[in-house]
Amino acid sequence: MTATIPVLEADPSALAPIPLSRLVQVELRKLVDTRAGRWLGIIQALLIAAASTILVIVMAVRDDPVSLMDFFSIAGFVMSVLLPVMGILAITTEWTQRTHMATFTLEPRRGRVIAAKCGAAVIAALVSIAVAVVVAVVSSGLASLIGVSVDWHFDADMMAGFALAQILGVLTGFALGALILATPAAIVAFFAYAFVLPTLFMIGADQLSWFESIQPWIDLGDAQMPLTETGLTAANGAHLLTAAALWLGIPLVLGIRRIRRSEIK
Amino acid sequence: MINVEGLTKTYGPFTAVDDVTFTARAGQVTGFLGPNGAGKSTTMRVLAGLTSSDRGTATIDGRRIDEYPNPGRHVGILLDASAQHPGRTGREILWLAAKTMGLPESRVDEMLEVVSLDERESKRRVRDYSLGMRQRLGIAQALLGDPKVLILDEPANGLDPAGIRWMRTMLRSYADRGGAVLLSSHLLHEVEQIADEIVMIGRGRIVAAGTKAELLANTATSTLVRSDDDAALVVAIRSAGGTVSQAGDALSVDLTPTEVGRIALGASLALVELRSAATSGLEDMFLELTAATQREDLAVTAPGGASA
Repeated sequence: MTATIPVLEADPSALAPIPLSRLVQVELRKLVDTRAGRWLGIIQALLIAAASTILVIVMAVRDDPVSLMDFFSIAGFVMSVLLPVMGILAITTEWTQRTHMATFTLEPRRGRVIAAKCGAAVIAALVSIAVAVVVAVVSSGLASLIGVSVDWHFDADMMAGFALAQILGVLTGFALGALILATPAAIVAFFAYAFVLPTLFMIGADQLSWFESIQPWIDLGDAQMPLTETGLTAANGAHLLTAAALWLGIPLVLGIRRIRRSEIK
Repeated sequence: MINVEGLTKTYGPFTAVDDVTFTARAGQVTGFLGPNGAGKSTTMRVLAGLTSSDRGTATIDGRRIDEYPNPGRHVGILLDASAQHPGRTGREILWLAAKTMGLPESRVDEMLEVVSLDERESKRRVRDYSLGMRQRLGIAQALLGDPKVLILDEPANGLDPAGIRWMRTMLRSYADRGGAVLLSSHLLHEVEQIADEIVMIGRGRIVAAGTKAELLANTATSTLVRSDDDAALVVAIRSAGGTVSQAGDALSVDLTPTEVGRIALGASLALVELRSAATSGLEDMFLELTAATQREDLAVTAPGGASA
């Protein structure tokens, strides 16, 4: 073993703050440099491809037409489950593996680290959306090759809604992860969000007349529907905004507060 | 230079760190010595900005860690070598830290060489690392940014004797270049081997601080001796005014080795062993100083203590 430590050349950048862009790059790398993170991305891509292939086969057998946008619906279903998990892991892994000690000693301004992680999670969602686009185009091409009638119309509004829905999904996971800071509990909380709450809201709206008028404002699942279906209007946009503030904004703010104040050990 | 002044940290009714003040100077290795749970790690976490203090200050060259724009370039910190993602390779962990600090990838290779993790080992997942390898990786991470100050919590844990010797030499040359090192340990012989100055802490309070010689100046002189006729030697020492007690298979005498040697010469006794028991003196002092303040029953480990 050598006992001498090579000296670094004097470098004025050592005195400059760490740029946020560099922190984002580091956080992006952390998303894919472990097996869990890498496979989550690979499995998502494979599931989108498999589901799209099944759609092509079913349509071919039934001799029904298919549209390019159908493939985004299929991809959106897969991504609505896996992207939030990616958002959760982006933050909870640091706590479960206790790597936050090294992370926060290298950048003690914890808010910047959280911002970088959030940015990395959104970029991961954008990459997933790009994968979905590629799969949709390839699947449509495949469908038309084997004789299925394909509607190639590209609906830009629907595409934007689809992208926004995926970003909301990854951010919801991220907010829950930041609040709970434990992977299993955060995943359970997300599935409660995704499957239990909408049912409760439906029952509530059905049984309680006063609740029926509140429900659109607080039901995040319902409020996201127009994104991929009818399109956003001023009215349902306001619904989406309030519901997202309630279910996404509040946990995120509380989570950031908790992370900034908590003792890291 | 590390400056801790009047640092206090409480958890509910429990005071983990109680008005702690000490300095770790540039050019020196300062050993932070105390039993488990004495408050060493809490103090170091406050220095690292991971724990907030209730009172007092903990600064590195006059500034809190969060006042440095890129702290990794000024202070190297290793608090827990096991706090790494087991699925990442050693190289990947260093790459992430180097990237954060804005260092070129070649720096990762340099550090891997310093801590003797070879190409193959650096590409293995940390899950498959021994504790000693994790410690060396942690030290490499702390050294990456070429810092002026090092803060290492129990860095010798899990290192083999060769590893401890390497660390001593490495920290020595680091300090000689003007760096300040604060290293903690609950083992006296580790700190004795590596540190120039010792800060002893027990139940959250500083109980003693200074160089080894300064700390020993207050303890009684003691010599260990064996001869071909210990019974006759006991008589000779007692008639010369010394006090003798049995210490294992040797005699412990409250005189200097020179004085004991002269007595044996006068009594025509052949000495088999003659040495200063200074080390065990420091050990006794450590046990004594921490006895009133320790959390764990150190008395259990005391009988073998003189071997340090």
